[in-house]
Amino acid sequence: MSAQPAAANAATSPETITRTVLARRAQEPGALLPILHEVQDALGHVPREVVPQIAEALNLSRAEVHGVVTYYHHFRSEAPGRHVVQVCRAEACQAMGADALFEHAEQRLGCHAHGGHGSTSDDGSFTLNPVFCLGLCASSPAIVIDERLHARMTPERFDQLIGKLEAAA
Amino acid sequence: MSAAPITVYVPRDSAALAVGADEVADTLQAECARRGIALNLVRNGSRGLFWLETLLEVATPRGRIAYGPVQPEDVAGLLDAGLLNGAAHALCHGPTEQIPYLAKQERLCFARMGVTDPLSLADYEAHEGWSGLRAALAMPGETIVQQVLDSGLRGRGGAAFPTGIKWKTVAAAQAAQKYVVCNADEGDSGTFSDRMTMEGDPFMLIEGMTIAALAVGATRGYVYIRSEYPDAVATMSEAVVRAQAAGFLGDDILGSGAACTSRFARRPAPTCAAKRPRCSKASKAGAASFARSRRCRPSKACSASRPSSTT
Repeated sequence: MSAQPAAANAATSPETITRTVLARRAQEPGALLPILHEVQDALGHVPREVVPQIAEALNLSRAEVHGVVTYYHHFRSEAPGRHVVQVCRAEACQAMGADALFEHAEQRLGCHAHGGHGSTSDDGSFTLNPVFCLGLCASSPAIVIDERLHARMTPERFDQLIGKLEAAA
Repeated sequence: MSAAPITVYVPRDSAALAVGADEVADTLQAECARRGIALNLVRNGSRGLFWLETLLEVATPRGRIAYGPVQPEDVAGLLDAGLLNGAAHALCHGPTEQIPYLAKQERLCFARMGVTDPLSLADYEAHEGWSGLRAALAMPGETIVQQVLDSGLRGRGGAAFPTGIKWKTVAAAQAAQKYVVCNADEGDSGTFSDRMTMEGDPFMLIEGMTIAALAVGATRGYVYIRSEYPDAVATMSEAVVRAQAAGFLGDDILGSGAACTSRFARRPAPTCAAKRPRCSKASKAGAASFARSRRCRPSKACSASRPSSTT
């Protein structure tokens, strides 16, 4: 689930990766979610073109697979930025300034989320998503950067963390 | 390095990791290595004193002594001050168990939380782990159900549904395959006891689900974990591997012939923004059809973790 697995798999097409996952998983009971997770973990998203392939292997309709992919916020149909930043916007974090932190993150990352959904910066560096409760309510506000949690966040610390990512790029 | 290693606890709960516990642990290891001190580092769960995270504890003849909140840059100074002897320091809170917040609590389902290494089977066993499962393996399913009925155990998800009634219903249902499904999807802000259970005492959940499976005749279990809890996913996954390797899960639990295997449904966050009605501006039509029963919490006694059981 790293934010940048695509480069490692550049030589391998989404169809090939999906075929490998399906070969291993398709016969399991309740296979769809684990398959979608593995495909996204490998590719960073679940490309639209592999939906028919998954549907056929599981004897489901494309609509059923599409429905699951789009129902869950976690699954992306579009490739994310190189880093995925999630800012918790649930009540406890809101009470500790999460809304202002989210606006700060939008400015800093150049991501402008519309209607509460995620967005990716023009240069493809960052995807910013709202998230609803990381279970760190007692240490709010909390954020996630590439699957690592950070609590008691301030705009200054946020800039430090992002600065480190940019310096490492 | 002739002295016996000194045991230091640095939590691995995500509330500690999110404020730098890994960096504190790394710094401590590096500083001790540099000073030639033998260290036994234990990554325990959280005591729940979040304002003191990262809460570091040192095992001393006086018991565990607490220091917090510790930042990586505090470590060298703490060692200079005699941290490993439990010496005084501005960050020292004395014996952990005597911190007023903890001293006035009677912990039941959280009794092991923060005390043990959550992934240590030896720790779990030494703190009453598996005693409920061992007792359950010696009884027929209906006796387990009757004991749970008699205990008055109830769900802790809000409806307080009697656990024994639920188990009895599932036990009576006819099905070729029954499942125990643990819904660990707590999305309400301010509640994270499911997260703490999975990260801080995962074998309790596995044991409780296995007891439920024995009681109702299920042989497969699912834990539904939110993708907002990456550390819980990691800890539970590892706990299942270890429980399986030690014979507490699988086709022949502890040589009893009983079977229970566990799988994870790592729950991807739904598009409806955690499906909470009050976030309606982010909700989408159709989400309601996926609404699940409220989460269930581990309950006291017999470490039955009270997963919701369905056929």
